[in-house]
Amino acid sequence: MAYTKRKEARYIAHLDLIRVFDRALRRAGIEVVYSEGFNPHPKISFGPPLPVGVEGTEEYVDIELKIQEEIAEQPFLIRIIGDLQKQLPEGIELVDYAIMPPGSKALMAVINLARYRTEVPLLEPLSAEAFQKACDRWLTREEAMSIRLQKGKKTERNIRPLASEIAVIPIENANDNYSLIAHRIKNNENGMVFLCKFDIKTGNDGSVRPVEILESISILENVPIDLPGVLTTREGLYIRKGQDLLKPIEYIRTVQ
Amino acid sequence: MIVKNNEWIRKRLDRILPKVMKPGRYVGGEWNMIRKDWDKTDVRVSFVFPDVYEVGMSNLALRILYGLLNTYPHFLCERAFAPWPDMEEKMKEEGIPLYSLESFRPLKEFDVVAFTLQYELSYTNILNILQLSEIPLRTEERAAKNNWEYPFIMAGGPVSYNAEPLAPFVDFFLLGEGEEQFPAVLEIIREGKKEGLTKAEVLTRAAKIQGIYVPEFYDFEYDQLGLISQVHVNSHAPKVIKKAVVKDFSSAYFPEKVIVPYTEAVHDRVMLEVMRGCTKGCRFCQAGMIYRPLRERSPEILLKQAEKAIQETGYEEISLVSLSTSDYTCVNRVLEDLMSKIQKKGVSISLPSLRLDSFDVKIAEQVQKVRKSGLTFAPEAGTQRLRDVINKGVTETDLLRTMESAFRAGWSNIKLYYMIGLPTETFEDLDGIVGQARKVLEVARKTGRRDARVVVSASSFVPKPHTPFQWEGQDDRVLLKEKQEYLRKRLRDQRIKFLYHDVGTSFIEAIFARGDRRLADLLEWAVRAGCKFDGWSEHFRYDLWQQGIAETGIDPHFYANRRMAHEELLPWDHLSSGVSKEYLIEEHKKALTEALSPDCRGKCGRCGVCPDLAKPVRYKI
Repeated sequence: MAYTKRKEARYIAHLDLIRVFDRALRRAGIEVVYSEGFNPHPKISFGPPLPVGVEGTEEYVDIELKIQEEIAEQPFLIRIIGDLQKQLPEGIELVDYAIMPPGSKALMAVINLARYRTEVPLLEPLSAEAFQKACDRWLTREEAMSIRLQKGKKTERNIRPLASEIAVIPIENANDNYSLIAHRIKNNENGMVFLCKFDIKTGNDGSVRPVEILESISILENVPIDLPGVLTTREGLYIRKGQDLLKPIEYIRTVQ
Repeated sequence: MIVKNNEWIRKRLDRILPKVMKPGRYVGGEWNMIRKDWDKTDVRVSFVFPDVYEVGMSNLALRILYGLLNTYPHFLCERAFAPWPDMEEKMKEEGIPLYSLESFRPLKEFDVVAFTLQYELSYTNILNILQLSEIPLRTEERAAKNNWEYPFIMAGGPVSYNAEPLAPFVDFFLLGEGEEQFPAVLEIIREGKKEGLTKAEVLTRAAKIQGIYVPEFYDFEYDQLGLISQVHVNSHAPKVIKKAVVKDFSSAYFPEKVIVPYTEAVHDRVMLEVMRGCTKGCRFCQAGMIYRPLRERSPEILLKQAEKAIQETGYEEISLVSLSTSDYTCVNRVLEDLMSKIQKKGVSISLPSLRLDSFDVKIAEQVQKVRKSGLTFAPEAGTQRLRDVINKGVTETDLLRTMESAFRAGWSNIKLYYMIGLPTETFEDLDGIVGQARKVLEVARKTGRRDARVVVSASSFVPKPHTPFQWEGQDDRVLLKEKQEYLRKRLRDQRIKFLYHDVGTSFIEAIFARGDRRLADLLEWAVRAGCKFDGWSEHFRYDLWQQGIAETGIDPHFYANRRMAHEELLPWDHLSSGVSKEYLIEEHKKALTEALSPDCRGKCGRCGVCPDLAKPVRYKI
């Protein structure tokens, strides 16, 4: 299933999502397959974690459901999706689904690209061209080290190879979908907000957050970004194979 | 100037939430959260649990009162918790005041800010929350401003039975059960707002309700020894405030649609309250005294509540809670019914409070079919003599027999809870603890459980008001440390884990447990110095407390370690749980002669609660 993670739901930690879905499924009266053993847990697995606070417009979850064989798949699924939706918290909306063929690989194993959109407020005026140039300069670097603080431990790594594209979109080119941003610009004391799009590698080998890239750009390329004001949305997760870019659900359909 | 309203707060939060631990604590929006129209309600209450979200959300009182108050169309109740220090720091940086999770409104905008007092060590958090809400700490400072500018500061919960150290900060306390009295006092505030009364006039009316204590109507005089010599009571107020009791507990309001937190709470499950009160009469136990009489809930009602609650929450676990669930008359029947109806939905059942004298391994086995992680027992003392002193009617034979069946049923981890520093305790009693732990391991060996592990947990005795031990002093810190060390040396064994509490924390707890109003200055000093989350060892600052004690000139031993006399006027004598002082004195005397008092289900001990205040309720099996 593909779902959104918006509004307050974006503060639900990735590890807590499994309980959120498990309880919603129980309220909806949908039976889930449980693992065997001393500590049975529901067979629900998620795609790459969304950093807490980042919105997602198409996130993915695999759920193993118990069904009787005589049930017709499509009407059953439509009912299930409807029942589950009613029990999900505000901000989590089911937007697409597909039945996974037996033996499919887990989402985490196949998804390898994430596309993000960020709203980036600047502390001082700068032209879109200059900002784009700074991003391009950053992309030509071989190395951009970033320090992440996790559980009190500092780890340093090169984040540069994880980003493949950064596009700065001047606001006048932003379409109606971004009217929210126009509102934000009006309310921004410095009157300068850009949209940035990122293509970032993701998957089992880890990933990088757009705000970490922006932090690196602000330091290395000297761009005055108001980092705490950056609002990030993950717009999509993809499976990239050579030139092809497939959404997970399209991918399942092609496998079938 | 920026208006710090709810919209501003919500927006501002997005700047800091990604940088704090567990941001889910601070945004609400959970399943079953109640969002009411602010403008369509007359009295708005912010219910504050003065600890971190995961602890507060586990509290039954919060669940009940939040649900209950919001059933009234005129009232609105929203939640607030103490922000963890990392969040507090960020909020201060961004200038965000403390707000409610439902509407993000600053607490200052509410009519009532209601604190629940569950433990003395949360006192600093209460004052800190007022600071973070930009509300002046003391009643008199709030009154000096425009009369209705600040909310009423209210407090309730078990610690209200002696919350004198908080008296100068709180407008009124609710003593006892809130299900009927809380709405009643809100109604008085509603009328007061409509009629244009002053807050003082509202308080005068409120003081007439059973259970409402307005501390500013009481003045204390002290003699040259520092003892209370006289209490002056305002003519509008009762001399003694009697606790409120729900008329019919069994059919009283119970919330099935409880909030389901996203970030895991400490008790993250459905809690069914099977009964209130306890009949055992352990002499150190405040809960056992103040929640009297024992009232059970009918099995039919419990079953309905359980089914509805699972339906509404989707929780995977349901727990039967009370002070001593295995004493509930129909426990077997309720468990059987629950298991046949609920367990097949993948919902497990748990019993958090088991007493070993009535513990039935068969029950536990049925309940905890899958996980045999651990069983907890509380013998409280190491020798029969001391167990008789505290009126804990448990013998070592009981304990060992229960252990044997537990080991045979497959358990291998046992937790034993003890208290050290109990009245009359000697080192022989400590040897008893060591001996008991070893005997449990010996039983394990005999039953073929060589992998058995025993956790021995020893907390330090804190004399609590309204108990037969309220006159006893706490052991000196040096002696408590010596006792801990004594046990630690003798419990060195790979199969035993010894846990004990910081003595400094227990000392501060003891000071405030038996404290009077004169401690308010120390409390305020400590909060201004940065004391908070005193119950959390990583935040407890004994050094600051020591400094505060020195600067405010308070004698801590007067409160914590002194043995008080039966004839003394105590700072909580005007607050009544229904249990009479005569009964407590008699129980105290019996303790010192090692005489037992029977369970009051068998023979009434004439504590004073029944039949005037309420009557006991039991159901037939």
